[in-house]
Amino acid sequence: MTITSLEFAAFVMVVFAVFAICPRKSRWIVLLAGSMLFYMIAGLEFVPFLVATIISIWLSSAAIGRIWERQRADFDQNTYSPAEKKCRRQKDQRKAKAIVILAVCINIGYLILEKALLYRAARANDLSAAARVIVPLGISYYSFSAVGYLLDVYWKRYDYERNVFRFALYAAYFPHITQGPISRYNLLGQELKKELTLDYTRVTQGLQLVLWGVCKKLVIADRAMVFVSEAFAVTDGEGMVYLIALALDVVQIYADFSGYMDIMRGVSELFGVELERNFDHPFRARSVSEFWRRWHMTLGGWFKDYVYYPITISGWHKRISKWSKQCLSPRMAKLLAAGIPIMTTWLLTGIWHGNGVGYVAWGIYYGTLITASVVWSDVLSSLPGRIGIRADCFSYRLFQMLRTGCIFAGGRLLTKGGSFSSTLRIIRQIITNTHVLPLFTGEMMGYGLNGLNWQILIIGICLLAGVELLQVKGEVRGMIARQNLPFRWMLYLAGMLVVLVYGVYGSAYSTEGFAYQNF
Amino acid sequence: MKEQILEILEGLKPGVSFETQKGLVTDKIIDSITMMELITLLEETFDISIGMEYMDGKHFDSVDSMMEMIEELR
Repeated sequence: MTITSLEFAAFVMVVFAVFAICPRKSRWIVLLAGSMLFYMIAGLEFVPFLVATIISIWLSSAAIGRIWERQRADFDQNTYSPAEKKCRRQKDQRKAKAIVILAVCINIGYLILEKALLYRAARANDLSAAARVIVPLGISYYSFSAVGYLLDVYWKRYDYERNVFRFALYAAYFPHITQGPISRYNLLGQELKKELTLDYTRVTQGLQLVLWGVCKKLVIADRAMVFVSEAFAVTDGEGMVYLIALALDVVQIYADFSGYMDIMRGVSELFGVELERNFDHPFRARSVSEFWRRWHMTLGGWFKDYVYYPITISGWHKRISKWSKQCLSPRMAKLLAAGIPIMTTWLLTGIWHGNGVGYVAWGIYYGTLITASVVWSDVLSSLPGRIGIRADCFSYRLFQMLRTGCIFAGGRLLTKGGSFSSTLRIIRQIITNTHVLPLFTGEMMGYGLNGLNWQILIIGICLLAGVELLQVKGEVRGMIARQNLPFRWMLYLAGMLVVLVYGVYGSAYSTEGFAYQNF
Repeated sequence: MKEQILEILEGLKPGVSFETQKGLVTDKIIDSITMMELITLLEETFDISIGMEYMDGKHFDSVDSMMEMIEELR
């Protein structure tokens, strides 16, 4: 059931209808039942994995929560010396840590096993072995959300959730389980605990967001994907075709993923639940670091909080940093201190994104760029002045944004081509076989898109860019809401018509699954 | 203590008036890389060890919250 299908629309309508007629206090139960039904429809064989995660993480969080509660109560009611308190804290810490390690191994362990099995099957070109690996829908997302909650309880950031069904709703909530956002319990969990009310403005604006997301997905992303997949299907093609395909790939992945987010945020708004945003105008970023603070923000935030920070404040990393400050030059010391957590985080992020050498290369690519930008930040920031370029003007900021976009496209190239050797062949073709003439000889029409589709795609991209620019000024839905009724309805009907007429589906095309849904 | 914290922050990110600024982490004035350097300097200056329970952002959101955290850790 893809979220641009009529089946999904019908599912949401049924859940919404039941939600609306239920008393407010019971509405969270409707969402829980709806979420479990959604997951069962996705695949009954996936359900045991989700249930195992919910139960193992909740039980672990309850056990750890009770350790901290008993400790607090004991310290409040009895008098201990500082040494006794320290001893008790260390003993409880060891117990809680053992529970965390076990729970994380169980949950992240299956994720690692599944990736390893798929990698082995791909290397052996064994399709039947790959098909036997069960990849529960959204496992990367719900596992990360659940493990993040457990670690937050372990680190005493908040109390554990006493109601297992409330926790189950947080983990399985259907608008976020397939492709995220990877929500934090103190945000989404609390949203789901408040009294869920119906609000006309929120429902209508939610539907508008859904419509915009569907437009992005069906009109722009799926159309761009036709060209991208045909262009990268060969590895000895014309370099200019690959460059255009790369540019369209960037558009495709953004329209696809942000379109999904808009659809699910809009659906969630129908129920009065706000989901975290995953994008903050990433193409306005002026550096790679800034880009990844604006793109797939919840994934970046997860890796920052649960991988990067634990490494940087760990005892062994502090010892290495201290040693390097004493024994190495300041630049080399900074390289070591910053490089270890950054490269580790990015390697793991690359592996999270996919199996294969290409994704490891992708992780190394970003880890290297970001480490270099940190270690040589003084040199890089003074460079424009030293070569006579003004850095405080629009043209330089534009250059920075375009440069960042090109770096992102370069990273995407590492995972194209199906295999790393194919990727290398494509890169070689770009370097040695790029000509301008194919732009004017109609060669671009030979990759699945005719003239009309190119026009629709270009108009769609311009519209997307226009909305992005408007969003910088303020909430677009708010701007629309302030217009007169006939104008607003003209806009909604135009949107629906565009999706119906220009959406990429039907027998001539296949509606691509969302890019990030197989994680 | 406040002066020492301000000196550290101004050394890491010149041009920001940290004394009155709130939301240093939530508004992304301090990014994760700067956080790493800030933690190292605070630990060395005040002879403390900052654990993961303080890494949720709110303890670094202002100079006042950093002072409270340091007092707790001492």
